[in-house]
Amino acid sequence: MTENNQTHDILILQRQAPYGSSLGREGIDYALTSAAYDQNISVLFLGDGVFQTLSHQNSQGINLKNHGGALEVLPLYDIENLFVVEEDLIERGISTEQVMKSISIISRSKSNEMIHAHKKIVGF
Amino acid sequence: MILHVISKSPYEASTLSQCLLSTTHGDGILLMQDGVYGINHQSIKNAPHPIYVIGDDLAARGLENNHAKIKSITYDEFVELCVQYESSISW
Repeated sequence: MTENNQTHDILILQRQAPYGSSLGREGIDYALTSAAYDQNISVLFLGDGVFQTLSHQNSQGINLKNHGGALEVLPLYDIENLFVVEEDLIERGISTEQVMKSISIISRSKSNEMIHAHKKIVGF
Repeated sequence: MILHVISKSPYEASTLSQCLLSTTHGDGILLMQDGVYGINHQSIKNAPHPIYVIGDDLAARGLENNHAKIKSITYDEFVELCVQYESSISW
């Protein structure tokens, strides 16, 4: 077996709201898979992606898996760098209290710094 | 009398604003699927029409209906609503 244990800092951009499309779910799957290969993962929720971060999602009535539940397990896989853009929350009428506790709320300027500090960025 | 059905987020798609350009007195607006993300959108607050939202779609997304003018309904009631209006448009 060849030694190939390179670790990269990867930023995942979550830009889509959950349930209407499967992209949000695919982004989480990508994060989990990458973490299994010991990569440093950060996830940034922006645009309509901020809707993924709402706590108290209950999708039983529409027969879909709970997306909030998928986000809650990320810290168990050592994915703890979870961020949401405050300006995008405000624009959508979401208060900071509605966001899951495991996700840090940051400003747009901070999120822009984060984007520019990464060389590997994957958008969903 | 038309029922306008919105199923996309107004923050990512222009469907809601296009729909509101086409509404007249007596029309109704229904938010379903990703359309329910618009429940707190300014143009919904300002719309002079009866507004309906699918409760199950809201609950799935962790959102609540805090507006007296917006009525939460079930998918069964949505079917009844379609029959009440002369026609419907899916935006």
